[in-house]
Amino acid sequence: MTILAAAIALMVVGCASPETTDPVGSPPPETTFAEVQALIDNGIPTVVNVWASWCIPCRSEAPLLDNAAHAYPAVEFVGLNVRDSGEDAAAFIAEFMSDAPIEHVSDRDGQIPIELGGGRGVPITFFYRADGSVAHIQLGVVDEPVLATYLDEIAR
Amino acid sequence: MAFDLLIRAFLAVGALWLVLRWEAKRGNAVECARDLFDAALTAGALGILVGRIGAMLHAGVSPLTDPGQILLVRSGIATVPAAVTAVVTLGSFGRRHLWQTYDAVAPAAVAALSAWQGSCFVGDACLGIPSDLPWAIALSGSDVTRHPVGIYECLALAAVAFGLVVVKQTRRPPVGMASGIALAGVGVIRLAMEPMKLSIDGGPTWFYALATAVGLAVVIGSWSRAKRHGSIESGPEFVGIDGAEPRVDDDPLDDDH
Repeated sequence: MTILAAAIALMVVGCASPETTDPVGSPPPETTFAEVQALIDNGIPTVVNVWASWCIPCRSEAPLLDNAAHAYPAVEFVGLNVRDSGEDAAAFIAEFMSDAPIEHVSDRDGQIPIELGGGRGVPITFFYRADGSVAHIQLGVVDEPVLATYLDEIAR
Repeated sequence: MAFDLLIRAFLAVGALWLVLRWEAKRGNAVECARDLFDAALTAGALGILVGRIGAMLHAGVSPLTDPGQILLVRSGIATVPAAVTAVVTLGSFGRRHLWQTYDAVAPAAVAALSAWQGSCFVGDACLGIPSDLPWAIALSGSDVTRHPVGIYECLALAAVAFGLVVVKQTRRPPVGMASGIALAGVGVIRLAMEPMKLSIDGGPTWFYALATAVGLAVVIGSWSRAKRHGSIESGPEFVGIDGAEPRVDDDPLDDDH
């Protein structure tokens, strides 16, 4: 009986708590090919992940990239949002990668991935060594073995 | 490669089929090879489904709000729920002859795992930590040579599968022995390979250790039970996965019960 009363009290307290909303940050800033190339050429191993909020496979790989960004602090992670609205992109980041050390930028036209040698599809993940050379371009969803292999490769 | 997982799955299913057929030809508890194939395939598929949902939940993604993601198996399958579901499902199919069912499928299941690992080159999933050994392999465009862990695992699992087929044929081991050896073998191999693998989160080594321990317990239990009874209860008399008596035909794979 005591447990039941305590449970009901907890529920009442829970229901009475002020409603919280997911904090949605600001949209990722618009970028250019030159700026992205500068991030790649900064002398640090870099992963560029091309994503969009409307892309379901991007949602599925986001938690893996979040973990990887935490596990490999020596690698710079860049999230390149393409063909998306600022609001949707901000909501996606808040939902899937809010605390990941990933620098998100936006390319409304989706031309930068093509100039980097990828394509128009999403997701795409580029792995760059510290010297700026490309180690691998993953077209489509990146899985854990591939991500772990190429992160280890570029981090050396 | 876009269809790498599909190719690897086909190779694994092919290995499952081939070993069951090979066992049928050798007379190893297989009068219902087709039933066993169907049961193992269903158990595997259900295991993948539950494992995928487990991986989604682990990543904080609800299968109710994002059901489409269930199909994206490339994004990860949780090993523990997948393996447990597959084993339980197979057991439920053969519950009236539980251990005989496991014994009958064990070599083929290990062979399927071997084929899955062996086809790792299709999907860039073969290589592990760097190594200077003569057979180490480098990624394309790289000078860092690495352990071909997928190939090690493939060969070790193939050896276990082959050994099981031969032992079942020549020694007629007691009921449960083949299952125990298979479980312990797979557990030990996964444990041995884990330090050489590259991963983000790390594999469930506790689960591999548990599988090894359970497998060894099954082997010991099977052996001591056979010794206590003074004779072995080998599996060839098993057969209908649903408990029905088998019909013995010239080609067991043409049997449709």
